[in-house]
Amino acid sequence: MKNRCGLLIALLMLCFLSACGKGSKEENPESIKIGTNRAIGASAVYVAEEMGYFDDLNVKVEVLDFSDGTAIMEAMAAGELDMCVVGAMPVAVWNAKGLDVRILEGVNNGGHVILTRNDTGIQSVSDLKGKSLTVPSPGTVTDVLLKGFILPDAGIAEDSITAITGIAPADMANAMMLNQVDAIMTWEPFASVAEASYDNVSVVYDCASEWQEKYNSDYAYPVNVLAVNGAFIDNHFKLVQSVTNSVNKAIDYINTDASAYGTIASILDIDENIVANAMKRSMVSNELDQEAVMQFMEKSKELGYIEKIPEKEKLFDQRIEEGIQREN
Amino acid sequence: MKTKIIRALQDYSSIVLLVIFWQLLSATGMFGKYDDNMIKMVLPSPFQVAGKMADITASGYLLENILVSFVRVIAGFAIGAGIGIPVGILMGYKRSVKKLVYPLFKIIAPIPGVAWIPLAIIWFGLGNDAAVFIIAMSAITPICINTMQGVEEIDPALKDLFLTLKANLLQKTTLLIIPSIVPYVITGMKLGLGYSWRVVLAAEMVGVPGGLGYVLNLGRSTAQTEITFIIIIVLGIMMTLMEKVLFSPLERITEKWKEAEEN
Repeated sequence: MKNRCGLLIALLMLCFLSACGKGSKEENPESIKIGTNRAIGASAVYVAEEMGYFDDLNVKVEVLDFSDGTAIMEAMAAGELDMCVVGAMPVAVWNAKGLDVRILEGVNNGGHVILTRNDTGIQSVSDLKGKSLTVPSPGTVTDVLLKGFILPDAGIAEDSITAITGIAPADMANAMMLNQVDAIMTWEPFASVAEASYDNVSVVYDCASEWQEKYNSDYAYPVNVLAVNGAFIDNHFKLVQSVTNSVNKAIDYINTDASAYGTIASILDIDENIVANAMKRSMVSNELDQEAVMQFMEKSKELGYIEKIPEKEKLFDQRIEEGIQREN
Repeated sequence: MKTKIIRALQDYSSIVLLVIFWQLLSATGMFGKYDDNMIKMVLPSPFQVAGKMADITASGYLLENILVSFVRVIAGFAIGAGIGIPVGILMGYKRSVKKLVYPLFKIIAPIPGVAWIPLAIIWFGLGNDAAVFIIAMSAITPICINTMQGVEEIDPALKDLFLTLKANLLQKTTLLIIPSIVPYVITGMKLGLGYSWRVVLAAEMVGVPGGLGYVLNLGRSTAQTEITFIIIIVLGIMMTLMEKVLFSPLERITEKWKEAEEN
């Protein structure tokens, strides 16, 4: 009996401690934490940091690395991040689940390819039937792109390929060259690194160009977006606007300055030629096709990853874009 | 019957209390810290978890993946025990073998099972073989070391007695060594089994297809925290069942031996 009373008291204390939250946000935060991961598509925020575009903001901007989009969203949910550059799908999935995270604008579109070894006999997506293919975590842009668009368009059932999940993108090419998988679905710069490292690999499917052709668009499917914690933008609108302007400045620099590829190569610790090749497939741009994002959400729902599609008004925060448009 | 029910309630009252507080925390949004939507992600209620568990059990999805992980654990654990027990007996029995082999185990012992994953995938590819290898590597050390200690702890008086009576190897093994080391082997195997389940989850999250680790990863990627809870509960149930089925009969036999010895 005494032991159970002790347990009851301990649990009550735990409840009390858990209720003591972090408290409300300060009026003027000392720092802004932006979560992202090291891929070409997310390079704009690293470039902004490297070029000093955040220096005028009078607040410390911390760009934090994460292993993948899920880890970033978990950190957002825990209140450890204020903003993030992450795949549109993780943002939409978590928003649909109730996390107040909102998409401000695009950061990149396209950049995915399906690669194979030359000896597998795979020359098109339909040849993937009966073969093994690495894909990243379920529910990501890559995963939904494959299962929601690419495979159905080729008339391939999802269960007719062996999908190998969970391999880090940097390890996918090695797994393929060690004959552990027949093909990989990967993204830049890993695709260009694989092409540069191995002679006998070939591109089966260039997702960006196929999308542009299919939808007759100048842009490919949306990949990374700039997102923000809802409460943070509501309380610090001007600051978020300034950060967004800095990221846009970095995007302009990447698209117009000849030295940009060298800057990105230095940040990602890869060869500049690889960056140049990767940029042909991965378009850095703040343009965001909202309808394409909603299309991806429809596919996510069909694939069983989410139960309901988030409301567009709650997912996209247009105020920054409208602010920029008003200024223009 | 009434006494049995009351005793059962008393035995499980701490779990009941925990579930009640879990429900309280979830229902109140951790005492107002989270709104209704966020709390479903941060701390889904026991009812939410139970509902999701019922869904994925009815569809066969959960059982299918439990089976995948279970087969891997059994295979890896069997290899770990199959190597660990005889090597442990040899090390305990022969000082020269211990001198040769024990330093290897001292190096391997602190290595967490997850550290073997990258090598396992490179050496064995992306499938069951990699998972079985990692599990075997995790299980072998506690089983071997505990077995060795069991042999070293054999009563010297009994050893002398068997020497005096000129017992042969078979008699020594069946009448002296095995009865003496069983409690130590059981301890080692319980530890090895725990490590096996931990490491199979990690392996399935980073490339080995299917299994409970895959289900956990899927839940994480789609913000379904209730799946994380389900995996935790399933692991607890699996460990408890396996201990009851594998180890309890052995422990009952050793208790009988002890009673016989005392009498």
